[in-house]
Amino acid sequence: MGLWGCMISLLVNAQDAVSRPSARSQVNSFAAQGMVKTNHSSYTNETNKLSFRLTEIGLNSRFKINDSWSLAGQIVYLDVGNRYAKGGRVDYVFVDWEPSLFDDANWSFKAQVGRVKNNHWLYASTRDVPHTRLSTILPQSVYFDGFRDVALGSDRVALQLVHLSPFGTWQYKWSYGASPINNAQRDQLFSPLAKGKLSQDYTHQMSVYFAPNNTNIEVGLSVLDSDFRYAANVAGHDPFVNGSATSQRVMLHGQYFAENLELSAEIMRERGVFKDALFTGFSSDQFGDGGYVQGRYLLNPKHSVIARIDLYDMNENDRLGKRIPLQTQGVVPEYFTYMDQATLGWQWHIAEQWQLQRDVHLIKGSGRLTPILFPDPVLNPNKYWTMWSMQLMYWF
Amino acid sequence: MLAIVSLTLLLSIHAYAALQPSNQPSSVQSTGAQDRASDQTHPPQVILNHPTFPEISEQFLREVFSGKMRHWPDDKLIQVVVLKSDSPLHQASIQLRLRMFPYQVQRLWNKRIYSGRGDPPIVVNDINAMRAMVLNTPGAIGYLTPELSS
Repeated sequence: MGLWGCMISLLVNAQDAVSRPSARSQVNSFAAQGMVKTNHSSYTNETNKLSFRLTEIGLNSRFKINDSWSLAGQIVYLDVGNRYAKGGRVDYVFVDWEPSLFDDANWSFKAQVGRVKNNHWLYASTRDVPHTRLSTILPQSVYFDGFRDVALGSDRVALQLVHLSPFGTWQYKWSYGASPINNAQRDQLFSPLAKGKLSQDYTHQMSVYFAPNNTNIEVGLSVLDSDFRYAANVAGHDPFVNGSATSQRVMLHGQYFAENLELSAEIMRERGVFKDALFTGFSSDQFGDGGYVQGRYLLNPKHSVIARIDLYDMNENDRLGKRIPLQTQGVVPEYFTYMDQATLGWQWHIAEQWQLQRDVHLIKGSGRLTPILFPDPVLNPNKYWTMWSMQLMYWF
Repeated sequence: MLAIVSLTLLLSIHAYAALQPSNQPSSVQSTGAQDRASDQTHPPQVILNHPTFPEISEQFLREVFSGKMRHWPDDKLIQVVVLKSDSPLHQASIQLRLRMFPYQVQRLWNKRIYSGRGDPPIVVNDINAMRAMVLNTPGAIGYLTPELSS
C-alpha cells in the first residue's frame, strides 16, 4: 500500500508534465494489446484457442527534486495468460541519487533506494515494455516468465558506477534486496496445491559491462545469488513441508549494432539447490545452462525482421531428460527438462510511437513452463509445439 | 479497476492526439530555417551552454547522448536537446558525430525512460528551436549544422 501511495503522489505531481519536456516532472506511458495462439501447450492458455490475453499497460513518472535527487516510479497492468499472474503491480518506485562525486568528467555514480529494477541483464529492466523488446516473448532460457516477478527487481538498493577509460566505457553495477512473492505467484512458481508462504530471503547481483572505444560493441558479465524459503501451512493441510532453495547464476552478455543489423546474445549457467519442501529429506543440487543468439535486420526505417535461436537444458548432466521418467514413475516425460526455441519475427514501425510486432515460435520441449515442480503432461502432451502472436503497441 | 480505466482513457486521448496533424507551435518559435543534414566532410557540430567545460571527448559525448553521463564536472545537470528522430540532421549527428546509429540511441533512451533511470531528452522541432533551447537552458547540449554553429 505504501508503494502504491508513493506512485499516486508521483503521478498527481506530474499531471501537467505530458506536454512540457523541460518540466520538473516527466510522465511516460505505454500500452499494448495483442493476440496469441499456441498449439499443444498450456504456455499461454489451456484451450489452445486464440487468446487476447496479451495486454501490457504502464504509466511512469519521474520527479526531479534538484540536479542530484529524483523520485521515479512505474505502475503496470499485465494480463498475459498463464505466463505469470494477471494484475496490477508497482513495477518500480525509488529515490534516485546521482551526485557529481568526482571532480573528473570521466566518472559517474548513481544510487537508487526503494523497489529497483534489475539492470544487470540486457532486457531485464524493461521486459514488460513492448517496444523495447525485439519479440513479444523474450528468450525463455534467460528470461523465464515463471520467474518474472522475482527476476524483475528487488526492494532495497542498487548502485552504478560508470568510468570512461582510455580504452572504452566501463559500467559496474551492484544490487541487493528481496522481492515480495504473493500467493498467485507462489502457485505459479511452486504448485497450485501449496498453502504455505513462499518468500525470497535476498537476491544479490553484480555485473560489469565494457564498451570499447570507437566500436558499437558491448560485452558484460553478471552474477546472481538468491535464497528462497517455504514455510508450510500445517494447519491448512499443506501437502508440503518447510524447505529452502538457492538459485545462483553466471551470465555473459554481448551486443553489437551496425547500420542495418543488430546482434545480441546472452548465455547463462545456473545452479538450483532444493532442500525439503516437497517432503522431509528431499534434496536436489543441479546445474542447468542455456542462452540465445538473436539478430534484427532493418529492411528500411519502417520494417525489420528478427531471427533467434534459444536453447535451455535444466540439468547439464541429463540433457535429454532420461532420468526424469524414472524418478517420477513415468508421470513426467523427458521433454520437461529442456526447451529449445526458434523464433522469427517482424516489426512494423507504423508511425512515431506506434508499432506492430508479429512473432512465430517453433519449440521443442517444455522445460520453461510453470509450475516448475509439478509439470502438467496432460495439457502439454507433445514434445514439439508452436506459438504465434501479434501485438500492437503505443507509447509516449 | 478505476486506475486501469483512467489509464486506458489517458492513453486513448494521448494516442488520438498523436495521430492528429500538429497545429501547435513549438516551444521556441521557428524562423523557417531548414533542417539540413551534413556530410562526412562537414559533420554536424555540437553546441553547449556550459562555458566552463570547453573540451569534450568523443567518448564523453557518446555517453552524454546515450544517457549514461548526466552531469558536467561542476555538478550541473546536462540537458540533452535533440531533433525528432526522423530529422536528417539528427540522424547525421548521431552517425557522423557520435558514430552510433539513431535506432541504437533511441533504444538506450527507451531503456532509461521506462526503467526510471533518466529523463528523456528535450525534443525540438527544428534547428532554430534547437539553438534557442540550448542558449536558454543552462547545462544544455545539442547539435547544429557547421555553418549555423559558427
